[in-house]
Amino acid sequence: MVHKMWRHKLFLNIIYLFIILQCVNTAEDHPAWNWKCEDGKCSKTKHDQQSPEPALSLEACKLFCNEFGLLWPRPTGNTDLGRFLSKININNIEIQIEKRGRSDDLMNAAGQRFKQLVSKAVPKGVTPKTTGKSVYVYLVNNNPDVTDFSLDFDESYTLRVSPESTERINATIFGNNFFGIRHGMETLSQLIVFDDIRNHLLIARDVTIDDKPVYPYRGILLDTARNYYSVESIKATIEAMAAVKLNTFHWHITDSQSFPFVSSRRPELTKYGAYGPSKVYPAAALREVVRFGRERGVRVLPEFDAPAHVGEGWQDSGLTVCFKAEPWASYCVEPPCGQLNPTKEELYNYLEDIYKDMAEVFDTDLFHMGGDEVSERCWNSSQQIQQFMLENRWGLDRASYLKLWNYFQTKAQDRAYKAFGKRLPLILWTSTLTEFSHVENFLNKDDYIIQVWTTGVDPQIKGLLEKGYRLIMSNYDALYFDCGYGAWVGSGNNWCSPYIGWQKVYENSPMQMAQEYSNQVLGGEAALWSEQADSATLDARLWPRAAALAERLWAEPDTTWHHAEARMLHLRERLVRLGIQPESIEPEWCYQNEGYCYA
Amino acid sequence: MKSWGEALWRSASANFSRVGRLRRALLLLAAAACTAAAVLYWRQQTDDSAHRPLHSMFAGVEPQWSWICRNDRCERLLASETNVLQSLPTCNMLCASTQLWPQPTGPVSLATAAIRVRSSGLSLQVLASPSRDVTEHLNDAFILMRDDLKTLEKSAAIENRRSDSATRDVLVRVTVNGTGDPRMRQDTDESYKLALRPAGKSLVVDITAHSFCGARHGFETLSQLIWLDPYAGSLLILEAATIDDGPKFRYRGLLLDTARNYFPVSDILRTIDAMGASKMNTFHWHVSDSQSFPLRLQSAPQLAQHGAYGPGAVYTTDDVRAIVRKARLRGIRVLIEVDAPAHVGRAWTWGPGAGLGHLAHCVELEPWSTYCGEPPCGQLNPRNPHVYSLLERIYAEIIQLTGVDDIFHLGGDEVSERCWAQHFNDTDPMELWFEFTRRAMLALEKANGGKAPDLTFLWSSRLTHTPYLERLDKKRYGVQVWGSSRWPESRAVLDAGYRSVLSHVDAWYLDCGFGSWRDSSDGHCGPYRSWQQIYEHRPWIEEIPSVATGVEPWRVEGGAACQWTEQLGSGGLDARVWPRTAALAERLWSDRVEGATADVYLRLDTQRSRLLAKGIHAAPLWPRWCSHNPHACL
Repeated sequence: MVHKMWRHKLFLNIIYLFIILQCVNTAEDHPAWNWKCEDGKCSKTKHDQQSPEPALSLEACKLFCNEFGLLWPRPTGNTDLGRFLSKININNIEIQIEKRGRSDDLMNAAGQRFKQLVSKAVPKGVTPKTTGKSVYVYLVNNNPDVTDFSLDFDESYTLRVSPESTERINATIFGNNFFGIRHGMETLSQLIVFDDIRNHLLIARDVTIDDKPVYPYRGILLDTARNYYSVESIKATIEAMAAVKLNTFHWHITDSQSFPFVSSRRPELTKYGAYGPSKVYPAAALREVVRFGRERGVRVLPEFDAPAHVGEGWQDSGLTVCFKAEPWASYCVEPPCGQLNPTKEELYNYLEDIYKDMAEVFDTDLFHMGGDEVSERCWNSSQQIQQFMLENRWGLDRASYLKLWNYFQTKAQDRAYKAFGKRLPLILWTSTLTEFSHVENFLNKDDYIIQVWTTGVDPQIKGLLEKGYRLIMSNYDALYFDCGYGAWVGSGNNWCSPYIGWQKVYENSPMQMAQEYSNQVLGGEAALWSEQADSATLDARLWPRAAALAERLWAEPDTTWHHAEARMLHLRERLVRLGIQPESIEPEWCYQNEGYCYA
Repeated sequence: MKSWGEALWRSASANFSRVGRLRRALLLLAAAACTAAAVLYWRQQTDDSAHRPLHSMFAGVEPQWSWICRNDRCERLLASETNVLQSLPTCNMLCASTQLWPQPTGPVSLATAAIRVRSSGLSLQVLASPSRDVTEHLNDAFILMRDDLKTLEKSAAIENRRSDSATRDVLVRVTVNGTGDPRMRQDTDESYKLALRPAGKSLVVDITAHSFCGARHGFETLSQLIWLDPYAGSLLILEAATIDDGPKFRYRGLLLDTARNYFPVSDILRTIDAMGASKMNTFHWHVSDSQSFPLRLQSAPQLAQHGAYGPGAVYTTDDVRAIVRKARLRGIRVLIEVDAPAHVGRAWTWGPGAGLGHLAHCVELEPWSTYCGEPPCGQLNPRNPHVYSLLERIYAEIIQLTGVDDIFHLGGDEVSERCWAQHFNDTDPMELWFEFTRRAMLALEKANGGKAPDLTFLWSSRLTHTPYLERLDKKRYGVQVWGSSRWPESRAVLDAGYRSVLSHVDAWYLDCGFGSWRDSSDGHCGPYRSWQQIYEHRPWIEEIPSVATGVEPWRVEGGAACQWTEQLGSGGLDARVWPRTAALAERLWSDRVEGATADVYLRLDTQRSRLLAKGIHAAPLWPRWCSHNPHACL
């Protein structure tokens, strides 16, 4: 439907370009190049000073030369960007909050951020002209007291831009809570472009957008245990997530290699487990990240992975088995090995303390309990565990070790509820415990959300959906961003090679995987496991690929990456301006010459 | 006495494999004995601060771990379980591995004791120098090294720094007996000798070399004998060392393509720093291509005017001079390649307007796949004499800017016969290509004051296959072989006796493995080349010496890693290139017979941390846990 309308509008747009230009044209500098919108593509042409046609800058051209202009992710509802650009004055942007409530601080912070985003549209070292209209941004929040994340919160918003007078443009954002309003401001900031021909900021003048996401959970996982990441680099990641309306920063904060989370109740875990005294995340830093995220509509979701993927930090506890066991390949998937000993009662006091520490700083609506890659051989290497199994009249076979795992998970679940003070939704990785043939014996579908990390065609997906489980998709064949580099143990390239290009990320559709059960899919998440990444490589590993995921999860477009390519190239430039160092995906020539870099 | 001597000395696993092994061993023993005697003498004279365990210098946060060298490995212990508190870098430096990168090719002996120093305590004395130019370069390169150490020193946490305890001064004495030309040239002898020993209350380092570049490599090695101890919060240096070193290959390069995507000057300067840290000597700057022409030449400003991505995406001649200057102090030549006759684009479209006729054909012609390898297309007009006079001006300015006049790169890859066939259907396009190359060479000769450079490179292509290869003069032309090492034509160039630089796509292309940029397939040259693959690629061992078949001995000048940038922008540069290019640097400098053994992992890991300290965002090899537990991940 939308598509057919678009075809018609295309013709009109070419005609209207002249009109647009009437609004911006003043004969000033003479740039070497300008752009023309022809057949839905902006083409680079030599600037002809004699031409009566006014010159259009690259971004001004792109803003109208495409159904969704420069917007990323593309809106899901009615989208009309109008046909006119107006010059605006960067110093005259006013933000008016219409209804007051508990979210006032968040609204103010988001308003400040909006102004910063606008200023970042201007290239470094350039001072735009300060003639032009003023912009009044009205924020109409129907529930100004909502400040908490939840899986069923309403992120929708409506944006209207229209000229109020010859001196003023009004932009009004309606939303049902702070989070929706925030997304609206993000969209509005993408409608403001810098015109490098006239050295002026421009805004799309007549805009109507109704927008809301398809999936409520849109995440990035960062593993800060295999290698440490600075708090600044994590905040930069959240900044970029906000720009593409991702809403969950899943923090895989511990693993067998290190324990950088500062536990105030069990400080020795950090003391022995961190890579060094400076390579830790103290509570103050975590609270700052959580605050930073909330202002940007990004929940910070902690994971405490257990009972496997533990090791460093637990040295003195006596609660682990097979820590640093050799040869490691017999007891785990990468060095060092280590698993918690579920038979020790003291373990659950430790867990409760860790959970409490996390509950205090993360203030979260969800909790990730890990639960992947448990090795029965590891547990079976302990005499004491064997004895416990036999005392319980269990065997020493695979099924019995699932019982032991379930014993652990049940007790850990109770402690989690106690620590968080509520029965919050819990998330677990797919594993032998979550196999659909027996999962209901262990995990209640109303308590647990399952995060799928196997491939997108794994029959487990359908099996789990049929049994009513809610899923988050992180299928490694499209969403593991660590793939494609050299192996760090052994030879050749790493296990999940090859590298996954943004195109594949874009086309990885949860809806196609879930079919008729797609309402049970909460969303998806890209994972950056950090065996071969740290602060030095972070931006390039995540971006712009995570943005491809963002549009997939926000909009579930029924089109392929080809339709998104021009916008994606612009989005990458935008990320650069936000201070991110994303991977380049094509020569800059392709950004300046749309439609020529086909296969 | 004897056991003490053995504990103090260790001989590094330097390259003893060939003839002269015995002689070298004897030399080593002699050197060891001399220096040991000196150390002994010095030890008797010093106050007991030299014997004070390092932990007494520690004045900060309580460290949790101590690393102790046992069985040639640094083992991590709980600090509370041991009475010696030693940081990981210090243990690494004092344990079995030399921690040097690249591994020296001659004998190495290193003390196993460390002494505190301060960057400001280093001073230079030039004992002998063949020219004022060399002396000035030595002074400036020394300051660069000291600045690097200062940066390292500053990175220690403030609370750990102690200013009161004694440090020793280090006097670096340099002797250069050889060429008075400080440039990296074809015939530059890059070898050097380094001897570090205590003398009175200070340390003396003697570096002798035959060129500025050799002496500079000595500085680089010296800086690798100095490290930051995070527990002491200060720099430490080995108290004695002797190293005899020189490269196996004389061309050790990195190509960066700044045309597909633009890289700011600061990125290039940082890359030069990183190259210097691993003793690479050639920055091959693929400055232009069909996508853009960012080099604003004074002799032909129209090229950048029409070809650059925008006003912020150009290199001025001042930029180039700054890069060349930094590179020269790092012992690196800057080899600028303006690729021709293919790989040109909009930069060359102003000819008709300027009355010069068509300088290029097929620019941005569609469908591109008919006329070139990737969009956009474009090829120079081989029949337009203005093309050659322009090239002459370009070449002259490049030579003048870089000061490199003994080596040149003409480009010359991936010419489309179809493009030219459209315009010149009277001539075989291969003949046109050959004619173009001949006339470009003529232009180069004129640009270089009437003398052809000693070695002028072409990329391997159809022109470097039989029957065209034989028509290229071996005395002038060299071939940079980019084809797969398994392709017969890659080998044929070597068998025919042409001087070559190897850049085999199956080993040394750093851009591979990131999927295609034009569709969602896996891309044309995947998978990713790991540092281990780069390190273990030794194509020259496949040479079959033959007297009968007319096959000439191979003349491998060296190798170069290639970073093409269709899918790389400024942000990702460091992590894509480093530490993988450091792996190539050791392959070409040391060419050790062994592959990526455990010691190589440990040394490269240390080299990566050196790069980080210099502000180069090199990718990690593995989880930091593996650095903390050496050998546990191997």
